[in-house]
This record gives sequence, structure tokens and C-alpha cells, in this order.
Amino acid sequence: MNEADRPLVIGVGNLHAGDDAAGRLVAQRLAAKNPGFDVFESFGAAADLVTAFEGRAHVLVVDACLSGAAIGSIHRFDAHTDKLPDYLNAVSSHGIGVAQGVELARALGMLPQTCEVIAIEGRNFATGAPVSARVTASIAACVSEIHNRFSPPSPRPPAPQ
Amino acid sequence: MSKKTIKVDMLARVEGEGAFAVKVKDGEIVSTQFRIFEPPRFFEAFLRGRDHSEAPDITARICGICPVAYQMSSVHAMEAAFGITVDGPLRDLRRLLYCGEWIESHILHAAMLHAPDFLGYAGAIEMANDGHADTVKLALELKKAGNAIVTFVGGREIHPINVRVGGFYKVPHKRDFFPLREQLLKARDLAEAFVDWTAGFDFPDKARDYTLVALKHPDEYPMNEGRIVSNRGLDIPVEEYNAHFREEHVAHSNALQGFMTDGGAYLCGPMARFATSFDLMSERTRSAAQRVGLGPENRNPYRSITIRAIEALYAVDEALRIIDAYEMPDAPVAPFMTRAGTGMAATEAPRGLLFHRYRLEKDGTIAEAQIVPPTSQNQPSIEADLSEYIADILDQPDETIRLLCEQTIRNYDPCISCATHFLDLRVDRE
Repeated sequence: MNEADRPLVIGVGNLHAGDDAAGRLVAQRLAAKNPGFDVFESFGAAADLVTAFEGRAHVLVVDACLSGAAIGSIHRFDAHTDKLPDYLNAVSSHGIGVAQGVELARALGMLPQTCEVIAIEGRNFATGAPVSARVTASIAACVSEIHNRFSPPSPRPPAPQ
Repeated sequence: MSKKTIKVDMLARVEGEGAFAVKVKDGEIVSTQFRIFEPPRFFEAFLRGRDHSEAPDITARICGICPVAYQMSSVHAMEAAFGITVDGPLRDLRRLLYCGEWIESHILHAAMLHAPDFLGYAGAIEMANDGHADTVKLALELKKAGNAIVTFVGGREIHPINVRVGGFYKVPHKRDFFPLREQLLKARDLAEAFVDWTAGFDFPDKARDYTLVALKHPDEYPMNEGRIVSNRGLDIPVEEYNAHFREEHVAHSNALQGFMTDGGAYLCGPMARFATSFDLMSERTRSAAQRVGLGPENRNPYRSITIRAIEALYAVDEALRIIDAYEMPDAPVAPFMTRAGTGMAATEAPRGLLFHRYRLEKDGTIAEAQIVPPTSQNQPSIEADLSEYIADILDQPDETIRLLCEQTIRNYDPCISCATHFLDLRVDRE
């Protein structure tokens, strides 16, 4: 599979700002599994996201968010059919976050063929705060889901002769 | 008697959390305030007690846009304290790394954050949607060349990890530069086109008689070292910084404000460097400046967007010069011994002069740290600009005044630490 066809998972956030680390931790845990797809960590600045999208057909972005839903909730969006909510910008360390990155890519004709966003609902985004327990559980669920979805199937063991 | 206050409580398209307020009474401006309300971050305090070797990595965390500047000022200050001279290819690699950061930072600000002001858009997305997509793509491609330099020399794109006191942890082979060199050759054409694009904007016809402060080096456009000079005759070694400049706390800002010791405001950054070291730019860069009618005499701060574009072109040109001359050094780091002492250094961050001073114990532990970033120094000048540049449009709608205020602040590319995108204008009338 060439790079363009290989799925890219982008984990967005700040590792040192409590639940804002969620996307980055998903990315790190996926990378540790040596998956058959690409993984990239980002602070979530719009320009950097567009650059990461370049030449890619399938992208999944994972970020933290603060929408008011129950902590640990997992929100899912299809960037081609859903308008990404403003709360996907509010938590970003640079304020100009995932939603604007997606919109900028769309304006530039650089939105990947499939572009999904998963957002994990956080509660505490204070500098130096630990990741909340419910967010940690959702991180594990996302890692499992994404790995199962994108990892190429293991080759079947040879049939007994 | 009429009074009104024009406020923006959260300034968009800047790196950090800031706001401004202009108070008007009977048609006259009575005060302008550029407020930085992002909480204090105490970096100077928590450097105390840490080992000198940690300073470049800790101070890099002050900013995700200009971490190289913090690394450079910190290692140069440590090296001054320990009596280390870093020269030859190691010095050149540091300058190359700085070129990468200038490209990244200048293009991000000029194309994505500041250009929409001149073209009448709310932001880069609206600008791209309305016929400027190709230019935004060009800018992103150019910025990528800066990212590539920082990744190649610094080890990663944001908060690089390869810089250490005395040199680097690892240095590249000459043969490894080939892909980067190819990318920069293409980027140079993009940078030329970007200069011309910004030069075509309509600029407010405004200027002030600024005190411009920058580093000055005898042989090169200033980045890593030099004396501190001004257009008014100041010419001092970096070690005399605190004798000529002071920081002051004002109630409306969480960032200390920088003044000359006589109380005057001053401006540092691209326009100051351009004014004091124009003759040290490359021939290609000076030709580009001449083509767009910009020279060292410029005092119109709105044209700083084009000066940033010209400095980005210079950084690409300079990076290519360094790469072509590079020979791999024998060792990635100069040997040294720690000793007690005080070291000071200033380098030219994309936004201007960045001063560091450290007092070190005999074993290299940091006993005291002082960091003066360019945005702190530029705050009084920003407030003076707001006073002067909107005085003749006070009879215009608040929205017009607000937009010019924002554009004026963005002339400085203020780096408060991380940007915000929420804008709420309130006009209080009496």
C-alpha cells in the first residue's frame, strides 16, 4: 500500500494540559503497536493539519473537546457531511484548531477523500493536570477501535499439509 | 461631554491571550491599553535550581512558534558564562536552525494571520475561499521548508531537541542535506513571489519616528549575536542591556513592559533589523526589497508584513548559503567545564530582541534567570501606535476603528504564547 492510500491517524492536543492530551495519547498508544497505518502527533494548528493532510486519501483526527456532554463521551464526525462544531477549536492550545484546519483544507481543495474526526469529551484542561479517569478509559476504547479498524488483517496461518 | 471605550476582550489572530481597550473622551484619546491577561508562567522562577543543560529544553517550552529563539539565547548565555566559543560549522548550524524558525514564524503570521487584515477578510479560510487559495497554498509550501530545516537540524518540528550548551547532540553529514537543499531551492522562488504578493496590498499611510532597537553584527544580518544598537546612536555590548533597558509592571498586563531606562518606548523586530542591518542582507534580498520599494528608511509599521516576507526570503537564501558551505565538524559539541559566573546573550527572535541572563553556581546549577522577550519590549510601542494611528478616524464607526486597532497590533506579530480565535467587541458609551 502506498503512502496516499495508507490511513493516517492524527492525534491532536497538549500532553501537559490535563484531558487535552487525549488525542496525543491515542496516537502514542497506536504508534507503540507498530500498526499498519501511519500515526502523527500535532498541536492542532490549522496550518500544520493541512500540511499533514497533503497527499492523503484517508485521515482520522482524534482530539479532546469540551462540549458539555458527559466526561469521556466520544463524538464522531465525518468532515465531508458534518459541520464541525466550534468546540473543536475552543480547547486547542492555539485556538485555531481542528475545525478550522478542516475548513482551511476544504477551502484549499485539500480535504482527504475520507476525513473523520473523533473527539473525546474532557473536563479538566489545566496545565499540569492529570488525565481524568473516564477520559483514560475512552482513550483505551478509541485505541482499540482504531487499531481494529485500520490494521491490515493478519496473514492466515498456512493450512496443514 | 462624550465618552466611549472601544474594547476587544479577546484579540484574534495573535499568538496568545490578549485584548485592548481605547478610551475616548470628547473626541480625544485619553488612554490605550494593550492587555496581556494570560496568566504569568513563572519560567524564570522554575529555572532556578535546574542544571544549566536543561535551560535550552525548558525555555523552548515558552513558545511553540519560536522555541529556537529561546534555545539560542539560553545556550549562548550559558556559553558566555562558561567561556565557551562555538564557531565553525556548529555556529553555522545554529544559524541554519534559526533560518528555519524565521521562515516558519514569518510566513505563518504574514500569510495566515496578518494578510486577511489588508484584504478585508475575517481570516485565512475566508481569504482562501475568495480567490486566494493558490497564495495560501504557496505560503504553506514555503512554511514547510522552514519546518524541514527545524526538523533536520533540531530533531523535530516543534520544540526541537538537538540543541545543547556547547553545540548539538548530533550533527548531520553533508550528503544528508541534499533533499533539504532541493526543497529550499524551490522555496526561494515561492518566497520571491510571496514578497511581491504582500507588497501589492493597500497600506495605511502612517508612520512614526520610532526608536528602533536590534542586534548588529559586523558581517551578517543579525540572528545569533551582535551588539545592541538603535537608530538613535545606542551601541552597547549585550552585557550592558540592563543598564539601558528596564522592565516595569503595569496593572493592565500580566507581561512586564520594556522601556529604555529614560522611560521611552522602543520597537524591536523585523522593521528594526531591516533599518539597522539592511546592507547586510543578501543581494537577492536587497533586490527584492528594492523591487517593492522598501528600504531601511521605512517607518510605516503596516509594511512590516512585507519586511517579514523579505526576511523569510533572506532566511531561505542564507540557509542555502550555509548548506553549500557546510563541512561536518569533528565533534558535535565543544568541550567545556562548568564554573560560577553570570552569562548574558541576546539573539533575534522572529519578533525581535530576546535577552537572557543566567547566574550559575560552580557546578552549573542555575541560581538566577532573567528572560526578556520581544513582545514585552514592544508593548509600550503598541500602545503608542494605537494612540497615534487611530486619532484621525475617531469619527468613523466603531467597527472601522476596531479593525485598524487589530491590524496595528498585528504589525508586531505579538507572541503571547498561544493564540485565540474568539472575538467579542464591546463599545461602552456614556
